[in-house]
Amino acid sequence: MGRLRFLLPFLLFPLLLLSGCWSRVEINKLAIVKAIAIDYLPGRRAPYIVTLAVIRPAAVAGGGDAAAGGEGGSPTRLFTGVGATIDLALARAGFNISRRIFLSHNEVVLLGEETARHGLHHITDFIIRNPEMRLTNLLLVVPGMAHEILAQGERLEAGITDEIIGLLEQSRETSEAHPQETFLVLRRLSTPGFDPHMPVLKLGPHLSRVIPEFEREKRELQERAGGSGQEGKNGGGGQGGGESGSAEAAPQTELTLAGTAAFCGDRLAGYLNEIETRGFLWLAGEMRAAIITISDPQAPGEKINILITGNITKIKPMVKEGRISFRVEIAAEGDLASQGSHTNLATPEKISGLNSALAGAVKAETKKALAKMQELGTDIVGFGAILNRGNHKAFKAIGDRWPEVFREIKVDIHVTANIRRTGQLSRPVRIIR
Amino acid sequence: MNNAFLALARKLGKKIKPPGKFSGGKEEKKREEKVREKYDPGGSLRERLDQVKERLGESSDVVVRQFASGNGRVRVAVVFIDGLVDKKIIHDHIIRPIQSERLTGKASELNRSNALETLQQHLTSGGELWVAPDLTQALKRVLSGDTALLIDGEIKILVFGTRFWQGRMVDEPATEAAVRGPREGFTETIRVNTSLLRRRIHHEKLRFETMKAGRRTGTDIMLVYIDDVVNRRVLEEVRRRVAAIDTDSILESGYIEEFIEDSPWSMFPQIEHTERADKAAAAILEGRVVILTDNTPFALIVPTSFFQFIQASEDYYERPFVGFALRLLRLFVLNVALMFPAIYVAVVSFHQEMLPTPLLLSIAATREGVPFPAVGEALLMEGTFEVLREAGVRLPKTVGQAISIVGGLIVGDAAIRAGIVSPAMVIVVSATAISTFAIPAFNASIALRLLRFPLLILAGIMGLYGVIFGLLIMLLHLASLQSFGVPYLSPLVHGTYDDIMKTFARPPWWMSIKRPRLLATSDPRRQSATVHTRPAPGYERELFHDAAEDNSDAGKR
Repeated sequence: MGRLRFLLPFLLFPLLLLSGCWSRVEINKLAIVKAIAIDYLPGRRAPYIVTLAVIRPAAVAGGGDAAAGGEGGSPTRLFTGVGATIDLALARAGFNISRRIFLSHNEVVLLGEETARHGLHHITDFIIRNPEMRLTNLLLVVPGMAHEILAQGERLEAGITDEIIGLLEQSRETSEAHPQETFLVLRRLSTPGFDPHMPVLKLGPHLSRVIPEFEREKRELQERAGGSGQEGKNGGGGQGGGESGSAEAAPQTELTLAGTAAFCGDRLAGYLNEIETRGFLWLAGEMRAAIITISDPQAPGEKINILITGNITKIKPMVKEGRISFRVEIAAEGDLASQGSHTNLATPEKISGLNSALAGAVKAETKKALAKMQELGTDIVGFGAILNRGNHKAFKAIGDRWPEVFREIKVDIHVTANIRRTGQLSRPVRIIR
Repeated sequence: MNNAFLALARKLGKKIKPPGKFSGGKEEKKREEKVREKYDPGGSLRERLDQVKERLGESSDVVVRQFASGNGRVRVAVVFIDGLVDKKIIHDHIIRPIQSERLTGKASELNRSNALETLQQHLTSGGELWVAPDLTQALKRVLSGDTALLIDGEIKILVFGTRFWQGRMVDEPATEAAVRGPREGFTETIRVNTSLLRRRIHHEKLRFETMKAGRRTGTDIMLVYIDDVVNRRVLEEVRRRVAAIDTDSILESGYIEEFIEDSPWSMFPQIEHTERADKAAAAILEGRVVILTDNTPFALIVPTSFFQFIQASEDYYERPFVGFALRLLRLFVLNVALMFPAIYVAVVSFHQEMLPTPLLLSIAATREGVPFPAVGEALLMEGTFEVLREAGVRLPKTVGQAISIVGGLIVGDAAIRAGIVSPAMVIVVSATAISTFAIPAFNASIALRLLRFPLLILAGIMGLYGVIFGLLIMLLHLASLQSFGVPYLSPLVHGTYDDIMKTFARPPWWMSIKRPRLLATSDPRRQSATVHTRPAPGYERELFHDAAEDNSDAGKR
């Protein structure tokens, strides 16, 4: 008996080994997926096309080891599968891959336009149920086919997925798109009176094609003073300076993240362009940083650029005699970024003049956005949810008719702007001839 | 599981230990009695010297010198071991006075009947003197370096303390070097060690309690404590356990450690050892018992708790903040040494989703083409490192360097280049290795180093689940351990807030009012209250004003 008890631990230990190395996968036997593109071809029996962007680690972090082989080339390999459902398509894609598909490091899910129009439910359900998919995956809508984006070559980053993620991070600085994680979309889908939105990723024409058009337009532009509608494209113009040297060898199309895809329920309703997106962000109180150009009140024709640094938005639902309206108070803050005129703007009176000009510009943007949203019938700001919170009875009375009611709703927008700083300069330099 | 194993082992241990003394003992006693019967009644010098010869044999270092007293009335003999005695003392203080022909005063009355009395009181002048009742007792002392004076016709024997031998100088301890603090370490000579302690604690209540253990080695063991600080029951327990040691040899304090520790089958050391005299003194002052062993510089400290192993004596000499920072660092390093390879293996082969993507890609890239699974790779590298370390320890210093260069640099680099191991694994293994050496206590770091391997295997089988499983078993085991009645994990268990704070953050000395509560000392306070001498009121201002006035005067002139 004594000996048996002594041996017991040793006899029990092999029990541990019975499980084997359960679910052990060596790190170099994984196909690390960093982006998934989901396309939908209506009318087919197998409508889903799932494209996986798999990273080849050796090409990314090859470094010094000769064994891994640094033959270079793109670090991303695409694998596509077609199937009746997402899971089937994913499994089909797996037929082509020599390693285990590993989704835990996926960061972006690109939805083709048709996929978005078909509905999000199947996709969100897949993301929630799959133990490897994270709810922090960023969702994007691509006008056209999503997998075409992944086929693009990388520009600055190590791979196309890093390019997309970089664009999403950078969009917080330009406020022309608003990244949405899966869990945010899910929250909105399950909130009454709140519709989800996603940023739009698209392939725009490359600058080498755009520039000749600019040349043509230039002469006409010289005669007429510039239209403010083009200001949103300023970011693109800045990029052009850096890339003009390699313009001929550059790809034909350029990856751009701008605009917002607005959903109605879980189906895509339409798009907001860059300016409307900014208006939407004012309403949602999510404005981070942006350049807004206003005309100089003192010297008409000259431009003044304001760098927006933040905003606070308050939305109040008002119910009077059964009529629902909203009062929106937007407080915008910004710095003077640059000015075209020579007048010294750093005086209280002139600043307050600028403030009202800025407030006007902001108000115009928000009105545009609101008009578009009401036209599409998508409440991506969540007016309905705010009403539900503030006056539950009134919202309940409308009930399921909210999308129709929203189209007609009256929104009162009040903007106060405050320019706080004038950058590193207070008075413009006097140029002496 | 481990607990059951330990209980089992404890039971076995009990079985192994025989209730009586081992068989050699009885025979020896019988022989002694025979010898006594044969010789004792006579008590003549010749017979007794024959007896000495029979007992000690013809060893070349045994010196027996017969001579007569100066007045020729008494014959005596000195017996000592050459090499263990100071011959000058024997010559100047024993042999010469007795042989002197001019005996004065009472000494002149020396004759056979009053020999013992007169020799003891008037003739010899050794500082240390003891009267042995019989030859057996006397020879025991002779074998440890004393000198016996046998007197014709007298049964009792005079034993003089003449111990003196060539020993190592008091030197800087090799295993516990410190930047700040005394450089004196214990030596192999127990008397030197007691002097080092006595020099640190000049208190009348400091006690050195001598015990002997080892049937054949007859090793001196001393329990050192402060009588009015130490907990009586702990002291009693130490005494009991040391007295119960029944073996024929004790060559190092490690023998004693094994005989008296609470759980002999545990991986963790339950008794701290030190070579530093200041560390031993600090332990005595805390209310612990220090066990000194002859022929080794390593003193044992009981009771011990686990957290003593992350403390170094330097913590107490540097500023408190430094001590605090270093302890946190060691605590971190302890965890690294124990689990880093296991966690790495678990994450890399089971939980890849836990790594940030760029790190995952880097690790995946380095593992591309490596032939072994991560566990195999880790075991290979850890094994290699242990071999290198062991080789480095045994080799002479000059060769050791060559080993570390060939083993570490050349083999390591070649293994990476050949794609046998991944660079990430080399980083993990070397970080672990360095961490191991950052733990101050060598015995604790060895335990952790060994426990790393089961954890590694568990990580390879079951991932983080296995690692946590292993750690839980270890925690259960640690929580079940005790050292002389003090929980091993104290003061984390049963500890007061004060004790816990003191374990991790070393408070300034002027705030350290109490001794560790769990030692239940008879004098729990070190000082009466928080006392920190601040500048006398107005002192700074006066100095400043004087200086300012001087300056303003100078300016005027």
